[in-house]
Amino acid sequence: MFELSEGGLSENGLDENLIYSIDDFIRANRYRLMRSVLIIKNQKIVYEWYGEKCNRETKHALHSIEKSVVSTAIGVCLNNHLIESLDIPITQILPEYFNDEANVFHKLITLKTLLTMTSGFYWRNGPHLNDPMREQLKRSKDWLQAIADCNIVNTPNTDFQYKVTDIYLMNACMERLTGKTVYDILNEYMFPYAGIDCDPFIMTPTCTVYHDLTQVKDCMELSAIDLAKFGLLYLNHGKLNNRQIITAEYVDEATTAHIENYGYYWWIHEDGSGYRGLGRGGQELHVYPAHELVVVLQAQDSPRSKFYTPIITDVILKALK
Amino acid sequence: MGNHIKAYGVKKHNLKNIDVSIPKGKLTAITGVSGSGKSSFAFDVLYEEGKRKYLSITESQFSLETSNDFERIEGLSPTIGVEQRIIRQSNPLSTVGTKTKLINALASLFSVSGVTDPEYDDGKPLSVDMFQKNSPNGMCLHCLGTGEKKVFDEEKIFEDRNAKLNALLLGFLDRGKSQKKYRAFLEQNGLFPSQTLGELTDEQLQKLKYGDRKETFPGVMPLIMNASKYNLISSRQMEIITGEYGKKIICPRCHGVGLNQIASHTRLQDRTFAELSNMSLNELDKFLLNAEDDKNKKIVKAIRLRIQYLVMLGLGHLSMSRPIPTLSGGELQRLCISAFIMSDFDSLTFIFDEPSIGLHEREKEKLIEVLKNIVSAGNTVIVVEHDESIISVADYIVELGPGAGTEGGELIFQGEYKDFLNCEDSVTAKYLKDRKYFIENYKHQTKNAPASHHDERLRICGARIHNLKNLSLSIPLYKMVGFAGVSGSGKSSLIAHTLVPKLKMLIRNRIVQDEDEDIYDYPRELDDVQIQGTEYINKCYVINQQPIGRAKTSNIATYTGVFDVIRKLFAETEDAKDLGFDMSFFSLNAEGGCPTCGGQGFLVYHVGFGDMNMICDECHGTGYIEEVLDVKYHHKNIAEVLEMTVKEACGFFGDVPKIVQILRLLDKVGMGYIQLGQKTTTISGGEAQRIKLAKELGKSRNKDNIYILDEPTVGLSPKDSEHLIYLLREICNAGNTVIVTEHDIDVLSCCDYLFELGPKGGEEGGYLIAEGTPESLKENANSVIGGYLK
Repeated sequence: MFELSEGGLSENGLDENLIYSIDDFIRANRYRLMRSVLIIKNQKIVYEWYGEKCNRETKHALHSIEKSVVSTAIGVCLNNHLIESLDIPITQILPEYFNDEANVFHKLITLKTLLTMTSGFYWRNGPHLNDPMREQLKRSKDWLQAIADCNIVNTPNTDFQYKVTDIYLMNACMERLTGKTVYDILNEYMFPYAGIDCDPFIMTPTCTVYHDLTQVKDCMELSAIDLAKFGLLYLNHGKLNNRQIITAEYVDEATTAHIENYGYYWWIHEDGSGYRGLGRGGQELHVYPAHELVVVLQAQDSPRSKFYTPIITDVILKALK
Repeated sequence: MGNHIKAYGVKKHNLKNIDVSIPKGKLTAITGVSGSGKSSFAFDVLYEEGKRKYLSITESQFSLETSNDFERIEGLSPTIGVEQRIIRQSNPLSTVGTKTKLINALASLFSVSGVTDPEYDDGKPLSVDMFQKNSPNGMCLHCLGTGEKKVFDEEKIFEDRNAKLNALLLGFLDRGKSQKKYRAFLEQNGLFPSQTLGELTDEQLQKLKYGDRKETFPGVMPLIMNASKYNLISSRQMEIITGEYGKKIICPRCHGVGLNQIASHTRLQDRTFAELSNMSLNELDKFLLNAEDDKNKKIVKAIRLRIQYLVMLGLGHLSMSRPIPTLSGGELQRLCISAFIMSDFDSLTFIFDEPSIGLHEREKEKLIEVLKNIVSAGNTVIVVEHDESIISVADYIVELGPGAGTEGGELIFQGEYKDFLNCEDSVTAKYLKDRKYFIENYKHQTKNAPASHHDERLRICGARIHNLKNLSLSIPLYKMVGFAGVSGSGKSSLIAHTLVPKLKMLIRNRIVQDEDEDIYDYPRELDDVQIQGTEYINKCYVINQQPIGRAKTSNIATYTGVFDVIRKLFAETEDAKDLGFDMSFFSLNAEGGCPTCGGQGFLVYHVGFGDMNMICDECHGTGYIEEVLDVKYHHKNIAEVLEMTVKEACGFFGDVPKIVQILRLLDKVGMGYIQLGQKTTTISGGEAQRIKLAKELGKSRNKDNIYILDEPTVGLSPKDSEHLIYLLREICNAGNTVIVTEHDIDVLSCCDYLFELGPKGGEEGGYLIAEGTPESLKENANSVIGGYLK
């Protein structure tokens, strides 16, 4: 079983007073929906704050941090030769949907294209909970066909645009290439070693789909501590509990900005201090390699979709000695 | 206060410091020959001032100085107007449905009462935006709502391994705007333009086809597939490339409808959204009557009310999907009027620009009813009009004139209709007092015309496009032949969409049409139509009302070609030689043009409602830099020459045959009043047609030709129409055939032979209800216009 030990704030380079003031900060700013604040420094749990009736094992929805989870699954596939390369074009993986006849640009879209959200498909983002294009995709009879029909307005690999088509496609590609779902892969190669307790992901008749497309409201849920382990995995160059789960090379590639500040489903900090995964409603997973620091924020989602990043920028980072 | 709008000291354009008084709460008609100053007064003065006054109190940051075009104007209320030449500039994607907001209402109706085919139904409710082509939820993601796609044959483009790199894409790549980036790309990759495709490595070929993120050359395929984004290939070149390597296809996903899958497969009473958008409004109205139920009562009632206003204004034959640019000037004007009457305002001043254009006599009666209703609701309505039927029912008349340009701009008459008829000075009154004045003049003028002894005919068999009911007719040649019928009865379908394309097919290089115009595609349905008698035709001239010269600096002088001669004259003056100016300096869009406004003479400000055009401070509206204006030819600089009317210029350039020849023709077609520098984007459809006619007349000298004109007298005063008819008669007498589609009763009465289509528009039309000489139609019980002919 993989357990993280606990440690003190001062001895691990964090100002105690500032960190303890997090509670006041949350109260003063009326972050009523806040549920978890977890700080891991130098491989030790140095601070925890949990909202009403919550603790470090309470599970919360990840929302878009699922993307970073999918990225990890790809890393696992590469490491275990379930997928040979990121340069495989989708025309080879799902030829019945993606081919020259459908669109000449399809052959330029590789797994790497999808990981960097540079597929070039036409997309207009709507306000968070009300995304009309996602709705349209969701309601199509065969969503892979709908994506294959989607007009491509930018040459693939040139422009970054955050959109759901790329991650849906990524899931489908992974399943087609490996015969396994994201859950299967992680459950086999990561969860046991990381001591992560996770329920199976939502399944659809065709494949595991990034939750958005299902009619079900629930999405992947992890406790604060388990989510933190994902951060630790990358911090530790792909190793957890002495096991190389993903390669160090993959960690480097995934956490480097490719086009704009985005890696492989990871948002890269503009100042180069680290990277983060973000999920609607305030879910955040931050990694600061130079400081051996991993921070998890979790909150109850709401239509206003707030972010609580000031806890990190205004308090935690300031507390670094 | 008072109950009159009073304008004092008006001197805009050619208006000669006049005082005009118009009663409020009444219908006033402003008339006069073309170029007399009617529109200047109605729009450039009254309408603009009403707008300016309103803006200066509502838009606080926009401080507008009062105009010095007049001393003062009292009694104005906020003005709402629709000037023909302004609305021509509307968004090309606009349709009747979007402009009237009917498309939104229909989308609403579908979201409430639509039934989705079981295959596509996922149990979730339908929303309004699912039926809107430009909404992310509604658009077909394949074509992005346009209904069509361009596909290119990548293999074919790169097929020939021996093709040189500089010859790719028919050589367009290594030319013009794209050349720089293409050459840079070749150099960066160690390639030469003279190398062949076969010499490229796979990697280089891939880069050539799709570009490389690190370089600025986007790649051949993205370049042509997203041409407008990269803007390296001109649209003309793209046309050619598409012709060679690609094709435009109807979107295979939405089949041209532009909507997403669910919306495309949702029906109301078994009809899809697309089908309803393509129905005529008349048919739609009937259809909706059957579709009404408790849930959608309110929406259906609102839609039907809107449609009824449109039908009232003679627009029932239009469909919601009809693109705005294809509407005639009159149709567009009436479309806007329908919005005004629905607004139900009172105490406003409405100013309309010849709303009766294109209306059949019967339809005019309905229009008059609408105008009177707007007045009785408590508004002032001012119409600029030539039409006798409208003028004769107006409460008040104002006539400007007597002539055009500098020969106009005076107040000839203002007062009530009965006094107008007796006004000796009025040119228009003569035509109103005696309805036969026009035809009598005509008969007198043409009484010595040589009798024609021709029997040849042009036969059309089996015309059935649109609503035409398998028509066959025999058009007598060497005569003036008129085609009449209500809007939507099938006149354009027969002439413009059947006869012309068919002739194009048969006598290809003997058809003369404006370059820009290739709007009449050849649909497969014409295969069965037969035309006989083309052996009698030498050349066929098609002259219609499509706008001329789209460039912002294009004007009458440039379009007709006189400007090149004028510029040469200026370049050869001593002044110009001293300053080292050649011809190009006198062009508005080259070095001599004002850099601030790009040679246009004005700058556009986007304000609350409508755009304001403000004279460019730099060049004071001339469009030229100061130095160019120092050059004088016979004491006038180039800007002053452009301000001259055609008539004035005829006198000024009297000793230059090349110029006078063209200008005289322009005068002959009734365009003597137009200024040389008038922008072609501001001229009406009727004016454009007459200018094209003048251009063609300037070229041809032989006989046995056919001239096909579309409502040539539209926008002309009775006097100007007379002159045009004489010209057409002359053309006819010289041994040619003239075919006109017309609504103007006077013109139709002057024709040698008439064909009448009808009896109504849309599905109830398309029949040939009468044919014969005007005399015989008068006796013909089946003819609708027979009763109106003079």
